[in-house]
Amino acid sequence: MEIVYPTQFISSLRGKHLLLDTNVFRDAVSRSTDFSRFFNNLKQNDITLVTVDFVRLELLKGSVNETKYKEKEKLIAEIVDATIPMTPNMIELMYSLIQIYGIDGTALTITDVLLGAMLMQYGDNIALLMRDTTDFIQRVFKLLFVVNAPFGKGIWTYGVYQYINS
Amino acid sequence: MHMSLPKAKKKKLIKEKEFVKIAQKVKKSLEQEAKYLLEGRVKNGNSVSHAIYFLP
Repeated sequence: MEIVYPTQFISSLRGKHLLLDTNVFRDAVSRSTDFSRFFNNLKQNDITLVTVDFVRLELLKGSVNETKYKEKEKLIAEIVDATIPMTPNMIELMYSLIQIYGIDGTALTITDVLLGAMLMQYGDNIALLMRDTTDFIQRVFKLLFVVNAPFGKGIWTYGVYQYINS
Repeated sequence: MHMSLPKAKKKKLIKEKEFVKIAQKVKKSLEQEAKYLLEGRVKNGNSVSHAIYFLP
């Protein structure tokens, strides 16, 4: 079953970057045909698919040997158009974000904090696609769209987020 | 003022058949890693983390 999204999803992200979280790559592994079509639709509409090194590391760790490691690298390379580098300012934003989150940040992973800092850094030029929708609270990040991937046993739901002050 | 994002060096479309093939290989790896973590939990009581996520 194909991935379902609102009609404005593509037009509002055209010319922008879409940041992909770790679980999006994992889901693309499980449902490769649906996701390859979805990704190509985004690419064809001038949406740049990007990720960060922390996400790459989460995917690559645990590889049993070099061949398996390279297969994962190849999969990531097939999907993403660019990897956004860390800047010194990003660390400052990560500290700011955990202060903004307060107690709500208790369960955040460092990768989540970095992804959030990326959204803060690049404002409305970027949005994040992520499956774990409890991590990005809506007093800090605006939920722009909901994307659904229906399959035989249920639906995977993704949030598309942007920093609220952008 | 927000910084500008790095531009993609080259934007290429995914070749579906090739992608499905590589995804199948990676899926096997992820399942193997999940099994390893689960076995570790049984033996040592380690945290399973997100590994269960990959189980079919």
